[in-house]
Amino acid sequence: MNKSQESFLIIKKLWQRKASLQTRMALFFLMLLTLIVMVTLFIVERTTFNHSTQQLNAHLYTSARVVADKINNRAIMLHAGLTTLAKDFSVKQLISSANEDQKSLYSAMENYQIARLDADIFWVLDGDNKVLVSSAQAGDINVKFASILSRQQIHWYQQNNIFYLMQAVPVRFVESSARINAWVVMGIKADRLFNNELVKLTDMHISLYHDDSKTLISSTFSPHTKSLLAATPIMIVPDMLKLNLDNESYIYATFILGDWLNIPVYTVLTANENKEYLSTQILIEQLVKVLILAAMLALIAAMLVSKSITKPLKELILAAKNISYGKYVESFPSSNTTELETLSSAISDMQLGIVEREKEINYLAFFDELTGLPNRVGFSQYIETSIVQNPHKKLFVLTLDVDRFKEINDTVSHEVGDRILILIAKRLRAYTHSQPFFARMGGDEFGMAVAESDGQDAGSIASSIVELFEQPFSINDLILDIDCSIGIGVFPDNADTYQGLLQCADIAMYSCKEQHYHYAIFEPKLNKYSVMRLDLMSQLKGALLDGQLKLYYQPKLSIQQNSISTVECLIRWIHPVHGFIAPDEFIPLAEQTGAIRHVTHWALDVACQQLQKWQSECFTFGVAVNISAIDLVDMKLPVFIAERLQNYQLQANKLTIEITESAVMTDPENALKALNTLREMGVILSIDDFGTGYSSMAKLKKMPVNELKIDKAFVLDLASNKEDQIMVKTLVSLAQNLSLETVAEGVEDKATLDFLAEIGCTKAQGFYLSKALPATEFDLWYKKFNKKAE
Amino acid sequence: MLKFVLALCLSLASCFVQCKEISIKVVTQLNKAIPNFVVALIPKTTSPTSQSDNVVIMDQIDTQFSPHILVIQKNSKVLFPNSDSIKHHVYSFSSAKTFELQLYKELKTQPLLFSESGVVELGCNVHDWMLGYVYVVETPFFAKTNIEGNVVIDVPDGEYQLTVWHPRIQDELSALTRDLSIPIQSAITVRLQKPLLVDLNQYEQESGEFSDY
Repeated sequence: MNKSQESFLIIKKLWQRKASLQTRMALFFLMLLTLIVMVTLFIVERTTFNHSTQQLNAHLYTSARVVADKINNRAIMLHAGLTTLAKDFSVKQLISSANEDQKSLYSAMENYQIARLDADIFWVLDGDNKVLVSSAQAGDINVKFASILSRQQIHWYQQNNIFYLMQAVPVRFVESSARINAWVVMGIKADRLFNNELVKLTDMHISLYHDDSKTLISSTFSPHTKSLLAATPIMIVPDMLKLNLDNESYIYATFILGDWLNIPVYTVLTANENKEYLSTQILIEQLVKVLILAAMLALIAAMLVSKSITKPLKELILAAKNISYGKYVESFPSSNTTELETLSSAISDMQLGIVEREKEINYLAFFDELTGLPNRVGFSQYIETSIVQNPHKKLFVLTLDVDRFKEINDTVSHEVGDRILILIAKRLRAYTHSQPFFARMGGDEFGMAVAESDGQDAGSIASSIVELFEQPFSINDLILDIDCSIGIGVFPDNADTYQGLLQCADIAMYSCKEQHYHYAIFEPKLNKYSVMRLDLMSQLKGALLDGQLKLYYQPKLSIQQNSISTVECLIRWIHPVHGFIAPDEFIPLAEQTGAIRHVTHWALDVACQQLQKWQSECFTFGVAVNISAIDLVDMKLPVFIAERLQNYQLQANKLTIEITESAVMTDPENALKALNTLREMGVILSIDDFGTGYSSMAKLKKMPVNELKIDKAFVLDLASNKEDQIMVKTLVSLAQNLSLETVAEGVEDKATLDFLAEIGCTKAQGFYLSKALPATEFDLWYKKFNKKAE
Repeated sequence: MLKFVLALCLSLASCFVQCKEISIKVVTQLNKAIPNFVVALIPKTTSPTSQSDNVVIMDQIDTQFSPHILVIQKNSKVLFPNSDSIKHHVYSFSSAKTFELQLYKELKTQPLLFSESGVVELGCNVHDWMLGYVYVVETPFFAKTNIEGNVVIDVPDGEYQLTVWHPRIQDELSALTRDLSIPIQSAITVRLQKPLLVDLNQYEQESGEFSDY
């Protein structure tokens, strides 16, 4: 892996790391700037390089031309001087007499060489190749060479390792003559030509090479550099080339400049590379400087941007965290960036939404939707808080149950039921004495908590609540009288926890329901009883098997015949520990748990068995068995009854099935089916507790029943109460009109019986005749009754 | 010039009764006729008579020597008159006769004796274009070719050496020299082996030497 790849990976890692926006921005800016700088520098470097190369090329060519021109001019000057010399009459005279007077010619030539032409070497040749005179150091030359030198070009000549720029001019004694009489030849040392003046003029060093660059003739370089140059091979090519001398880098180019003996001589022009090109090192140094500057700029830019972006972002993050911890943030950061502003307002909206939903959840958690009262949870919170806050103050906890609310619901409608609950809540709210706290506990049960004040006791509070229910409730033109049962638990007398208090109140409430009181205050004995009640249910099945349940029999008197027509079978539970348990106590519980079916089956079986036994004793009456709503909708019941009848070889009309009005109303469709089936079988059907329900006459008309049992509530005071008399009379006449028999319950005296006989009631039942008795006792009573009747 | 030649011929004819005409033609290697070519017949047996009193003229007209080539017998005197209105400085560095006539006008100089045979190249120090030749021969029998390159010379019978010369000749003169006997040979053609040097100033044409014909 090479370095560039490594650094790339590092950048990639940095980028992928979860860096802050600020870091990332700084990095991004830096990378961007680096890229721009690098690209710019690359382009500048390339352009500069190309431009410099072109410039250098042009410079080299121009310099070469300058050098050539300079040298050529010098040659022309020399040639011109020599021409003048050659035409000088005195010189001609001296040449013509050279054989006799060599010294004079030498002297004249020396004068020309030094004083007039500034040359370094000279020759005079006669037409026959003979050197007439020459300067001291000069070697031999011939006419042929002289004639070459006379051409107007740049000529070079080497003598004793010294190079000369040479020129020659022929001498004609008579100028127009076709014949040449002599040659004058002169040379200037090359070293004198390649001087600092040329260097200044061209800004380059110029060197002269001969014989394809093998021989360095002359150079403007210092002697040291020159010696180095002499040891360096020089290429004669048209291109520019590099050359290193004395730790300096040069660019050079070669040009032809004259010849020596027809072999070309080259000038090598040498330019300092650093002068001509921007050095790469300098560029890199500048790059680094620019990058440092860029990094600083990026950092500043990132900081500036972060002020406008990351700062509100951080604030938003804090706000979001606070929201997640459930703290509410009052202000959200604002930003001039649209996205951030949107995000900020979105989080703000989110918080509002959360608050609203929390309120809703809170409401749902602590309040009842229907009535708007606090719910069970709210109730418990209030009580727990109150207990903690006022541990020494009495607190009355009331549970309030609407009596027979289920029947109302079933008979009228759930909507009406709900309306009733709302109205109850409204009335409760209207009660503000000693700042009570009301709650709906669920269903038809309400709760109330009130602290003791002004020496109020539980009874007075309960009474004032009961008073709230005195006025009937009016719903959709329907006037309903509603009662309630109130149980009261007192803190700290009864319990010191919410659960305990509520349990106490509940127990009290149930007890008052059973006893038909409006309210009951908790007492420890109620508690015991209540626990036993709950225990009973688990024991009920076992009790059936153990034979703890017994049927008691109460006679129904046919008033006209003054005979016993039917015996109602009533279930009694003789508990080995608790003793006698009334059916009102365990039948509703059995209905709730579903155990009622077993009880009903058991009762039917026992009743049928007893009837068979009585029939074997020639008793003519039939038996009546109560069945619940649950039994009625159980379609197996008719089958079971048929089996029993067959088993005990009984006639169907000897069996009466008593059903409460409300039982039929629970599921009228299935109830009707079952009733019809039983009716077809010949079983006699009786509506129990008639008058307490809300069944309409229309529905009653459809029901395939044989008799109506008038509830004892109408019968108990019948002898003295006129209203009851009217009611019963009406009911009886109604039944008569519908061809139904009527049974009056709760007949306790002769007057009542007489009245019933008077209005035409078919049957009577009650303590006046007999209470419910065990089979053996009933037998005795019946025998006695028959004797009396006879 | 023509007068001079005729006079010379007449004088020769009067001296030698048995005279014979000899025709000589000079051509280039390409057989092109060369005019103004000097031809001289030098007798082998008898030495030619000296003519010390004879004076010939080399004039200077319109800044030119006239004639361009003057052929004279040895020991003749040549006068250098100046027909121009300006001064001339006539000189020669030739070994046959080295002299210098400093700036002068008209006929202020004395005739000069040419006592050695050979070529004397004349120049003027103030006029570079001026060029003239005095060709000194040791015989009275000489002439210059005409425009057809021919020359006819009357010479007495005898043995002669034929020599030729021209200012622009490149051939070795000795190669062109030959012996001949009169009257056995009456017509000779001399052919040059090398071309003449280029006539830069067209002296021959401008001289007008043959214009009288």
